[in-house]
Amino acid sequence: MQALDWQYRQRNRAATLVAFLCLLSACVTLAPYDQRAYENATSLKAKTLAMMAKSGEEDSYARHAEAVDALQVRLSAAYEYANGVLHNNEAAKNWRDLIGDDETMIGGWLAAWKHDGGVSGALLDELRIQVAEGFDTIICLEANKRQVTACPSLKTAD
Amino acid sequence: MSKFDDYLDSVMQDARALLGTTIKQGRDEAQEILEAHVQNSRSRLERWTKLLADGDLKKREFELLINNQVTLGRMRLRTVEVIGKKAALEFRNRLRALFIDKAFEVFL
Repeated sequence: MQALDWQYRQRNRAATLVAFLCLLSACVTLAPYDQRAYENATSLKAKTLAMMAKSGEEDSYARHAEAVDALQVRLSAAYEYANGVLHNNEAAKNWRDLIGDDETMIGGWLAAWKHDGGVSGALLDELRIQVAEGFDTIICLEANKRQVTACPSLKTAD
Repeated sequence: MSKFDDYLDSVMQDARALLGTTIKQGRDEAQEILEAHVQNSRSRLERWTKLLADGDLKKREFELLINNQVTLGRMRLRTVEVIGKKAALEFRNRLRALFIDKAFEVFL
């Protein structure tokens, strides 16, 4: 009986050891934390929100068209930067989603601004919340590449 | 018990505790991030529906906000995916260190 018990414990121990060794060699790939990517997100968040505030003015699109183009170039550059980093799939996809198209996110806001000349107060308030959250999601993602860390801005309700 | 058995027992005991703390932290973070999205979506939808009914939002503006909310959910899921990967990597690194430290402790 004692011999059987000893055998059982040995087998159990071996199985656990094998499981841990598998974990040690498991293939989890993740790009390292990137200070430049983090700064891209924080500075572009500030610039985009400042530009959004200007879109609330009537017939303001034409006046700011040049600055809008420059902002779009910087956003595209941030996406291209993230997309060029190995094992950085999630961050690159988040940038692409944040930039969006005519019907979503930053692209959707710009399309509405262009179409109407200015963005109405009610819509703009809501869009600013969403675009800020989009940037926060990217900032949180980047911060968590360094260390599992809390992202207070993503946990607070409106 | 041989020294090697002592070594394994000691590693296993600490590894289980390590698994609990490292993975739990990642899981808790991920859960809070996703729960906040559900809460936000609910309260925003209520607000937008009222704005639409009051004529403060046009239909296409309402649609834009809905599209954005779906996109934000997808973005949060990817962020949570990264948190999970990072937690797994942290566990792996600490486990590796544990195997080495315990070996020095028991055999030397």
